[in-house]
Amino acid sequence: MKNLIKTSLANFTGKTAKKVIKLLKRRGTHTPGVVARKIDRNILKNIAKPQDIYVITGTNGKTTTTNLVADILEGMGIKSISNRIGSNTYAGIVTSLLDGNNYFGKNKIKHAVLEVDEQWCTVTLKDLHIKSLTITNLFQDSYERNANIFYIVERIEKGLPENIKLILNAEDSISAYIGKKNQRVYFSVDNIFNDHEQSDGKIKDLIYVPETDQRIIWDFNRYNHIGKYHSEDFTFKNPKAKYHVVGYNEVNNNLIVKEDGIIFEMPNIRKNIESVYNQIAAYATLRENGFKREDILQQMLKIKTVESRYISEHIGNKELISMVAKGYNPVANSCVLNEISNNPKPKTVIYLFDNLESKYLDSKSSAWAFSIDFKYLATVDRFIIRSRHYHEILLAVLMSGIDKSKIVRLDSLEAVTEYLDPHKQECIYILHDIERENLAQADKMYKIVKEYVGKI
Amino acid sequence: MIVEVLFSEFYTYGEIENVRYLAKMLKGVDFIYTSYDNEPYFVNNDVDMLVIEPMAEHYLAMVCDKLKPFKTRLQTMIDDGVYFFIVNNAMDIFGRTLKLSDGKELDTLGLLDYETIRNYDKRYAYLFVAKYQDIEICANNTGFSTYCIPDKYHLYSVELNGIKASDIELSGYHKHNVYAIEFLSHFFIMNPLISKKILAHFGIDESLPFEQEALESYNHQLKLFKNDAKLLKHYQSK
Repeated sequence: MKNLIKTSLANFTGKTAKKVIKLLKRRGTHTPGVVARKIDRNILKNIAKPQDIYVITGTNGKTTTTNLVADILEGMGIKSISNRIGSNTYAGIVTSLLDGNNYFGKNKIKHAVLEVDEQWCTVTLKDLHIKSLTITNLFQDSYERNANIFYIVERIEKGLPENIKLILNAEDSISAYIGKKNQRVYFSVDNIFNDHEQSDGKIKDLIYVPETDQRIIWDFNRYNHIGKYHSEDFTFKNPKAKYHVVGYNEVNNNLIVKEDGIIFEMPNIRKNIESVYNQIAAYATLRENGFKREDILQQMLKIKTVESRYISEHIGNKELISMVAKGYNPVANSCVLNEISNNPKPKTVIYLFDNLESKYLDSKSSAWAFSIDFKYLATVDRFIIRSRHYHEILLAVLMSGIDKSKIVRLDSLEAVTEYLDPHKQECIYILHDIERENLAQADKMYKIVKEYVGKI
Repeated sequence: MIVEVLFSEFYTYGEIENVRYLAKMLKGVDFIYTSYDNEPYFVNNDVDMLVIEPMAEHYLAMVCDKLKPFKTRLQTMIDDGVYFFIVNNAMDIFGRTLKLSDGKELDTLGLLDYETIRNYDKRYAYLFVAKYQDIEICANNTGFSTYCIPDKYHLYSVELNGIKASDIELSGYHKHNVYAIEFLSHFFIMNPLISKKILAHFGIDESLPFEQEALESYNHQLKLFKNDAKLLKHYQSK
């Protein structure tokens, strides 16, 4: 009884905190959860929760996949709660769950789509009573926080209930093997955009067949430890995927998908391999939780990539593209640079990278910069850097063999126009981090460039 | 001169670039890269320097097993004055013992005189400035492990560090020609004054690769570190 009162009070106070924060025109995606936890230490375990909770984790793509699932449910007229803007730690998850409850602590919504930070899986999964866990992929991420993939695998395994279904990436040669005791279902994407058969990226997290010194044979190495692989004796190979993107129909911009032997077309949201992975992960999550194929496909027709993460428009002789290159995440940065390098048009890259949230130095080593495949800048005409990490980035770029004459240090956002050639037909990329302050900075840069290009 | 780089395919934190920079620095020196599926070159040949950099703890355990049969050979090399350059968590397998915070003990090579404690629940990451002889070093220390090193083996003194209430004043490990450093940060690239000292030590009369950029970066970083209110606050609270 005492615990029930405590949880009810935590629920009430958390919801009130959220209301007050909203009145102050703040987002309140984290603090209400902190307040509720102060009253009830086990709030995540005790709070009333939706009946069906689908959790999505992974290094890259978890926010987009979560948003896709939530958007599709919404489009189907199904109410769900979701931590859409990425507050994915304990307090953020509690805050989202509060959204589904009334002030008396009674749950009103049946479904929840929750993004959970990989590290926080250890302490959240068991209390959430989830139906499925989707892992988009696991890569090297912030070294200071996440150490390495094998550490993250252990953290996830530590919190993993045995009775939940796992929806995993069959091409991820590390995360595909999480949860040996769980029911596992896989999604997979073939080389549908004719990428290079063998990646030449710096980071390779799995070179040998586990527990041996036999090298893995890569039939197709998309990047890092992702692709089609097998051991010499084929005892170690990609698990069979139930949801398999086997092709791309350029004429109608559809993905060709094979599901349990049935082939059909799926509207492609964005022609980018990471986006396709997110899409098939979202589809697999919904299918495994009982939603109908035709309903999902119908909703996918209406979906646009979240604008804060990708904007593209043609203005005169320029194509202006703003996209995320997640800070301190070398794999995400390398993927973006690789994508840019595959664009045959002349291009300028504006690289906005800073921890704008703090006036203090972030306790980071230069490891993230030296892990990025800056060699992909070889096809870029100009690389404009705006960052207090300029010196480290410059050295990392030079070590990658890029000529210094291509590199520009930007002292103010406005100064960017000095380095743009008005007569050149080209793509201008603005790469930025995902925090609110970074999005605002990228938005400002976008406006400056757009205004300048518009006047040409 | 022959430098053997051990198991570089496992290196993490972009530290392979540190090795690549060293190779650019030491012009005319032979660099041999030994992969995990091969026997180390030092087993049957003389080398002048061994380099091993950080990797996932999962791989460190494999590497330790791989090196165990050559423990006596490694000890002889240390005694003979072969240079060893061991970075960050690669130190875990060279000490006398390696204990996890739950009390479990893991295997090591037992070649160097320190104890390691690894705590997976307490990952630290902080910036610091250390002093080696008359040179200031800018670095970051990131990891799960702490090393209990007797004072007589310490390599450098810590001038400024960003970890709250830390009383670490001496750090690193140095015995014969073994140099083990806890910190990351692409040591040779980011600390050009040390790198120049190394060149002079080996009698190489050359400038560093990207020397001007490296010096600008170093001076900039040193200035930032020394003026960061948080770093200074922690230092003053010691």
